[in-house]
Amino acid sequence: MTFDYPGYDLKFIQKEPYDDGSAHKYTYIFKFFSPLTKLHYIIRADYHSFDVFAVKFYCKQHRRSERKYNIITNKGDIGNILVTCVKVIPYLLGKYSNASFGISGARTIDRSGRAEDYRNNQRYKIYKELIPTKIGTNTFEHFEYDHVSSYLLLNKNGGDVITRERHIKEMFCTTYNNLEDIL
Amino acid sequence: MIYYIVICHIVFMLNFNNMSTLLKKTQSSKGERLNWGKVQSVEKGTIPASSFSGRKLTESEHAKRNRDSKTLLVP
Repeated sequence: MTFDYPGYDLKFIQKEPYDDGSAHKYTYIFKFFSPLTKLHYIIRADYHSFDVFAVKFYCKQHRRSERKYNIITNKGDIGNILVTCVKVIPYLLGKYSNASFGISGARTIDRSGRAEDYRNNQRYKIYKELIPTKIGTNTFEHFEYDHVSSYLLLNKNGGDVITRERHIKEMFCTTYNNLEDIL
Repeated sequence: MIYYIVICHIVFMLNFNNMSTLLKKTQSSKGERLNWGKVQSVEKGTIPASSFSGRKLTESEHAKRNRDSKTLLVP
């Protein structure tokens, strides 16, 4: 599978504080436009303790939907859209050189209200092919979590990799205690 | 006679369009075709981190996956 797409230009919108006492501290918000689908997309990079960003995106027209991460727009141009989302990683690395990144594949919910299993779902299967084609192994260790459809890029600069991976996993489990529901 | 044929054609086309609309409405969704479950709310609770089995991607697995890649955004 190849992902040789140029992607689109990212536009930084704002840094939104998130002060609910959890490990989620603030969110960087970006947007971009796809001329092929004629739709705007929003990328949110949630900064957490342990220098971890959780990167997520949705189509702007679904911004008010509680299932915005689960809807499939089915308009195409997925290669450019995903590559644009990956561009957030080098952007944020410029500001946070020790940052790690977590990505979760949201399970699809179709028009009849049926939901895909959260294990090894279709979005995650694409992400785990895409990320190694765009992100090398000099800066990050790559971890796969098929059971929760998640992928972790752990920065090698921050010290012991195994301990940090365990701490990050525990932090996400505590912060997102409805993980099965939101995945 | 010609009028009769034209009217028959129009009636046929109208029925055909209605049929295709009906078919679309009754067509099963992706979740139904793949036998996905209905969305259910899950009770909040801490999920033990130990229940998530992750694994580190080895250098060779990584190299295999990006063998066709031309550009890396991060080395």
